[in-house]
Order: sequence, then C-alpha cells, then structure tokens
Amino acid sequence: MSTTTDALLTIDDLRVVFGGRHAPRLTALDGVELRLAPGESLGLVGETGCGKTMTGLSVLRLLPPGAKVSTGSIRFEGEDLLRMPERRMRRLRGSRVTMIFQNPASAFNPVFTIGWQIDRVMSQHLDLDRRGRRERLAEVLGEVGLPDVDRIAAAYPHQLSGGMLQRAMIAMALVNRPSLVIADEPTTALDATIAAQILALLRRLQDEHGFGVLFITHNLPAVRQLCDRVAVLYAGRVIETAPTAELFAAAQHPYTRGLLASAPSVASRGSRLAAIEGSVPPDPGAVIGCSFAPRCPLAFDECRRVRPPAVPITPTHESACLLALEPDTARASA
Amino acid sequence: MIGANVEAVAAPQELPSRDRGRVVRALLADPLSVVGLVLITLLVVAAALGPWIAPFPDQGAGQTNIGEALLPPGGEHLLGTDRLGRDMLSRIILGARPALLVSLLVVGLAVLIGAPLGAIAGYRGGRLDEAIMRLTDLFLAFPPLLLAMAIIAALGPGLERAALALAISWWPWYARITRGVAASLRERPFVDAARSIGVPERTIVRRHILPNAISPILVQATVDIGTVILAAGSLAFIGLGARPPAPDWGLMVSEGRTFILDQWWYSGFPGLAIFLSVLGFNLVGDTLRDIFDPRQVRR
Amino acid sequence: MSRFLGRRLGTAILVLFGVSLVTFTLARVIPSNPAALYIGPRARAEEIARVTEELGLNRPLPLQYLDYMGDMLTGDWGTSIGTKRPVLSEILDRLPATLELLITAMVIAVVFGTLLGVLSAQWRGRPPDLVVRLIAIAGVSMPAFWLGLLLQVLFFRQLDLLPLSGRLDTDIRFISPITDVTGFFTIDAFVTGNWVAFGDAAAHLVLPAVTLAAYPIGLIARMTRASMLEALGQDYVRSARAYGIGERTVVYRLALRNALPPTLTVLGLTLAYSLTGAFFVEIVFNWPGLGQFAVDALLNVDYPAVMGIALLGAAGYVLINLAVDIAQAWLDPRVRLA
Repeated sequence: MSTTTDALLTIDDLRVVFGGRHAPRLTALDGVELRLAPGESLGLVGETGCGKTMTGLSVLRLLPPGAKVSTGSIRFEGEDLLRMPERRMRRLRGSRVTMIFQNPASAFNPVFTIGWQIDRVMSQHLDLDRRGRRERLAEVLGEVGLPDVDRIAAAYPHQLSGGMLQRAMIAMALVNRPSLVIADEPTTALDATIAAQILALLRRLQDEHGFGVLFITHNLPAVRQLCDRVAVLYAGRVIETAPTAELFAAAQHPYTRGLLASAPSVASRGSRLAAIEGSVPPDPGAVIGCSFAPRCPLAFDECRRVRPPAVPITPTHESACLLALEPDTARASA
Repeated sequence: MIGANVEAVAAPQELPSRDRGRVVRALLADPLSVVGLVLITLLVVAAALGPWIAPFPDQGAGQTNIGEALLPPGGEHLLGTDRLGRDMLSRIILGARPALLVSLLVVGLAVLIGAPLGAIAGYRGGRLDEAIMRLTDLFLAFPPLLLAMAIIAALGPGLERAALALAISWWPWYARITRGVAASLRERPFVDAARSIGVPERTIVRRHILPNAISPILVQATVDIGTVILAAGSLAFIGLGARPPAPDWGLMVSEGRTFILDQWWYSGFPGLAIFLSVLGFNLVGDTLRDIFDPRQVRR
Repeated sequence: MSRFLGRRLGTAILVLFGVSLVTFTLARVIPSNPAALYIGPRARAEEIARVTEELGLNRPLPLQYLDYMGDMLTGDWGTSIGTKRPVLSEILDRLPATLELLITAMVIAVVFGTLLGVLSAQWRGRPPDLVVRLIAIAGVSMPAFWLGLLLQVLFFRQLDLLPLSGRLDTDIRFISPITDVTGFFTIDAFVTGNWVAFGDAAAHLVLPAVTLAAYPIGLIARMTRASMLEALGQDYVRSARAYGIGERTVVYRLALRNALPPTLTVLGLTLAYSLTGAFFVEIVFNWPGLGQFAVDALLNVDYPAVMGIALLGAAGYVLINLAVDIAQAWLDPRVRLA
C-alpha cells in the first residue's frame, strides 16, 4: 500500500456504482488499485464489461450519466483528481491527461475538419497564436506519420481511413504534450496490419516523449507489444499485476491463466473468452467471496466466503487469489 | 405441428401485460402526463355526462335567455353568459361531446383507411408499395389543413363534411406508420413461416401485421385526437364546421370575437376548453412517444 | 452534391406534378358540375354551357388535365368569383403581407424555439426541462385564433401598448405614406428611412407574429431538444469533453451544429403549418393577406380562388422542403463533398 511519491497515477480502492434512487444499484468498479510510474506503460486487460473503460473514464471524471464514484481516490501527479474543482479538472483534460478512443471515426465530430478539431484542443489549453498553433499542428502530424499536413488538416473525418484517423487522434492526444495518455482499445476498430503500425507508433512516441500510457485492451498480444506492466481486471477488481514478461511466463491467478490460454497468438478481434466457462457476475458488488469463484476450475469452499486480498508473489508481482498465499496458509484458514 | 409452432412464435401480438404495466407506470411518473390524463378525464366526463352535470342544460343546447345576455363570470353563471343569455359553462360542457366525437370519428376513419393500405404496402412491397407511398406523398405535399379546406370547398361546408375532409387528409400518416411496421415484419421468421404453410395474405396481415402496428398507431392517434379537436375548432372558427346554435367551441370563439374587448369571457372560455383538451392529449402523447420511440419527433 | 441536387430537384418536380393532379381532381373531377362552381351560386344555364365550353369540361379527362396544366403554367389560374379578377393576381397582391407576417413569425420561432430546446436538453429531466416541455407542448396545443384574441385583450385593451389590428394605422397613409419597394411594410419603411411608418408597421406586426410563432416555437423546441439529446450522447461530444473543451462550446458550438440538420427538417413542416396558421391569425388581426382572401373564398364557394390557394400552398411547401433538403445536405460534409 506504499504510495511512491513519484507515481504519475495512483488509483486506490476506487468504487464506481450505477443507479441508485430509481434503478437498482450495480457495482461497476469494486475497489480498483492501480499505480503508474512516469513514462511507464501499463496494460489494463480484461473481458468486455469488467470495468476497463470505466476506470479510464473515472480518471478523467467523465463517467456516463448514472454512474458515480462512491469511494476511493485517484491521484495524478500528487493531486487528488476526485477532489479537484471542475475548472481545474477541465484544464487537465486534453493537456496533462489525454485519451485516445476506441473508434476514431465516431470520436471525431463529423462536421468539422480534423485541423479545426485539433486546433480547438490547442487553443483551449495553449497560449499560442494562430501561427504557433499551425506550426505545432504540422509538427505533431509529422510525428504521427501524417506529413501531408494541409490535406489532413482540411479533411473531414469521413475523408480519412481508419488508420489515418487514429493517427490524427494520437496527434490530438499529444498536441499539448501530456504526461499521461489513456488509450482505450485504440486498435480494436482497425485491421491487423494497421493496428500493429499504430501500436508501434505509440511505443515509439512514448519512448521519445516519455509520457505514461494506460493501455486499456482485451488484446493480449498488443499488451505484449506495448506495455511494461500489466494489470488484469476482473469484475471491477484488479486481480493480478506483474511486469509483462513475468505475467506471460508465470501468471498465478487462474483467471489470468485462462485468459492467456484462450488468447490466440495473433491479435484477436473478439472479446469473448471461449476457454473460460460462464460469464462475469452481473453485479460484482453483491458477490461475497472471490468474484471469479463461480467460473474457477480450482475454487474451493473458502473462495466463496472470503474476498482474496492482493498478495505479493515477487516484489513486482501481485495476485488476488487464495492460492497465491502459501498453500498451507490457505488450508489452515479453510 | 408446424402450424402450432407458428402460433407459438407469433404470439407477441399485443403488448405483454408487463409492458402495459410499464407504460402505465411511466405515464404516472411524469408530472406532465399526469396533468394530461387529468385533462382528458375531465373532457371525457363532460362528454359522457354533459346534460346531467351542466347547470343549465337547456341553455347549453341552445335555448336563449335574452334578459341575461353578456353577463360577466360570477354568481349563477360561473363563466358568464353569451349574447343570447346562455350560460357559458353549460355551453362549454355540452360542447365536449361533439368535439370529442368528431375527433374520434376523424381519427378512426383515418386509421381505417390508412392502416390497411399501409399494411398491404409494407407487406407486399414492390410496385404496390411504391404506388401507395407516392400517393401518401401527394397528400402530404399539401400544408396541413389546406387540403382539408380544399376538399371542403369541393364537398360544401358542414360538420360531417369537415370531418370527412379531415379524415381524407389525415390517413396518409397512418399508412406510413403501418407500412414501416409491416415492412420490418415481412422478413421475420413467424411471418415467413405463416406464408410458407400457405396462410392467406389477408390472414397474415390481419393477425400478424396489424396487431404489431397497434402501439405506434395508438401513440399517434393520442396526439391526433388533440390535433383534430384543434383543426375542427379552427374550421368552425372560420365558419366551415358546425352551425349555430350547436354548442361548438370553435363557433363560440368566433361568435364572441365581436365582443372580445369588453366581454372577453365569451371567446375566452370556449377557446380555453379547446386549448386544455388539445393540451391533455399532447401531454400524454408526448410521454407515450418517449416510451415507445424516444428518437421520433414529428409534428 | 450536384448529383444529389439533380435527384432532389427531379423529385420536387414530380411531386409538384402530382399536386397538380390532386387539385385538378378536386377542381374538375369530383364536383358534379364544375362549371356551375366556377361561375358561382347564381349560374344560369347558358352561362354554364359557355363555361363548360371554355374550360373544355366536355372533353376527355386526360386532355382536360393537359389544358389545366397549360393554364396553370401560363399563369391563367381562373377568375375569382368574389372579386371578378384573375386569381393569380389576387394572390400575388396579397402575398407580401402574408409573407411579412410569416417570415417575422418564423424568425421569432427559430430563435426562441432553438434556445428553449437547447436549454431543455441541457437540463434533461430537471425542472427547467419540465418547464420548457410544458411551454413547447402548450405552444402546439394553442388555437392560434384564441391566443390572438387573448393577446389583443391584454396588449390593446388592458395595457394599451400595441395596436389592435390591421397592418398600419390609417392616418399613416396621409402623414407619411410608405413607398412600395418589396411589399413588406417594415422593410420598405426602413430602407426609405420612413421612421414614423416603420414604427407603426412594426408595432402592428408584433402581436400577429407572436401569435403565429407560438405553434412553431413548440415544434422547433421539441425537435431541437430531441436532436440535441441525440448529439450530446455521441462519442464525439464525449471526446470533446475529454479534451477539456468548455461546456458552453461543447453545447452551443459543437452539439448544436450537429443538431442543426434534424432541426431543419422540422422547419419545412413548421413553415407549412404556419402558412395555414397565418390564415386564422390574419382573420383575428384583420391582416390584409392571403388568409382573408382564402377564408372569404372558402365561405363564398369561390372555387377558382380556393384551388389557386391550395396549389400555391402545396407548391410553396414542396419548394420549402426542397430548400431544407439542400440546406441539410450542405451542412453535412459527408453529403456536400460526396
């Protein structure tokens, strides 16, 4: 639980609930814990509906209507985002923290040109005159591999291909030199070769500029390509974190292992994990024991009674599974 | 065996009762539609019980009482009297029935013409569909009411003819709604199955297509009942609808026009009756539309 | 864009053609004795025979239709029974007054309707939304003729702020007559610097225009609310917020721009409604436009006049819808640049 002072982003015990008053209350995030060092690239993986996107939106405080944070804290560069006044929060969005969205074709407004939209983001945050912004736009478009600045800037979203749009989206994300980029499934809407190019681009830009990346995906090969570390999310909780290589080599949590076993070696487009029977509980907040227990091939009685805490396996590897405790400890408490 | 299956698949013809409960709850949850329901109830009560609840039923029906002409609201005549001394309140209460009946008649006729045409168009598709839809285009190419006015000119004035003219200019809306439903159902398995075992077209349209169009038609009809009250009132106001001494709201507003500056209640209250009736149906219709098809806004 | 334009223009012409079929049917086919209708109530036998001959009513219907079309296209819309003058010139004489009223009302309606709709969408489900929805629904439920009378009582009788009716005080004609330029009194007075007349014309315009605007305000507010809600729910609005774009810019600069095309759709319908709505408002305010003429024609069974007005109304409506479609296509770069 030690919060390193130089962390870029620290999420502690984040709970997000849906509904309330009129609709039934559902838990979307059930105590998420995440740490991201400056310049680090963290993969946040899990099935559809496990809360990946919700985590990303919480950081920007842009939860959809009906969802709200009930407890927890999100610290960014030492400041608590959940307590920040809206005005300051708005200044942060699009400048210090930016987001790359899943579907660039719908993330850009169809009736304005790409150039106008990126320029709007600059003029909102930067104190630059028209010419300065124009130069910065050319620079950033060049960086993302769109050197034909005039054509791209004057284009409407429908005139560009998906790959070009995602490059433009990355340009918009980087134009104000952020320290954290949240990439929410940035390659899902693209075909495999383009996706690989986009990932390589992100990796290169990250090396050059040193921003941190929270890479939200269900695509494990992509994580391997891009991320330093991986956090596995299941039913609104982080159930395992480890350096990328270690996770792929020696995953502890049965869910992670199932995930790895079911993932094809090439980038998969489907989000269902056929290898694991069953599905995510509809309201994780209502589950008493381990939320994966109903689907877990290794579950024993204790799993249905006790919420497993995150246990360090190595100094950099944690898993929230009773089996990660010493086997005899697990037996003894059973 | 197959036949039994078809019946089973085709079962959801009307709203399941759970959905009906949902509709009622949604109507009661929205303060605006509650107001609307109250207004509609008032109208229906006045229409049903008019002669019994009006304080001066004879005057309401037309009996004059010259000695008490143009009395202001208050006392014995709660809403004042008209130029022939008739109690305004009684006239307005008795006006509810014709207003509601004419409107129901017009909307009913429009549905009767429009729904079957739309169902056939959508179900058959092809040339017939094209022809029927282009026909609706022609009718809808006229500004609302203008076509009705032109038809009245061809048929001659009068309440029944005005109603007929309104119905003739109104049916295309229902044809379009029903066509949309029918076209979306045409390729559905239960319709396909029915067709493949040789169920006659008439039966398919009657049993599978039309019942599914009921909800959207009802939503539209709710709004339209109000709109037709307004349209009929407007026609009466310019003298193309009911004739004196009928207790017709539009006619009463028109009669009172001469006295508007000093006896405002003469035109004021009958107009208010039209307004509140139309408002009631529109309030309820708006909520219904939100429930059934939140994205559609028309008219 | 040009292909779209061509196709859309083609449809408009087809619809106009169809409209003429409808008016032809109403004018010549449905009535048992159209000639009698064309002469009026006191038609004598020899007159009927003459008109039957003149209109070619004894010829086959398709030929009659061709004649009818020819007459319409060459501006021969028949002679008004009421005024004994050509219908088309009667209509054109009165058109500016109606248009002035109509356009003023539409400007009021677009400004207030859009504003109310945006407010309503921004405050969805909360009290301001409820109030706006109530106003909008009340607007479309209001009998225009009744609202006009109420406004007369309030602003003329009670407050004595605005004139009762008419387009101009009678003495303006002697004090400071308006030079005819466009036929719109306010504009003519304005461009000729005739401030006395301008003030008077504008004052006369206020109540009828507001009355006529009530219904369109409701329609536009409802449509704007719906399309704003749709736009505000889009991914690109979320990304604008995620990039720190201020809420006012998000709503009024971005989302409103996306909500504009669907709102335009309702504008055509709104104008058409207001065209007939204007008839009733004109009656209430003694506004010397088409409405008076139309209602007189209807009541006196002035058949050629009624059909002329119906044809004009339909043609106007078709053209408005054409304009709306073109504007919509132009606003959407996906169509404009296709």
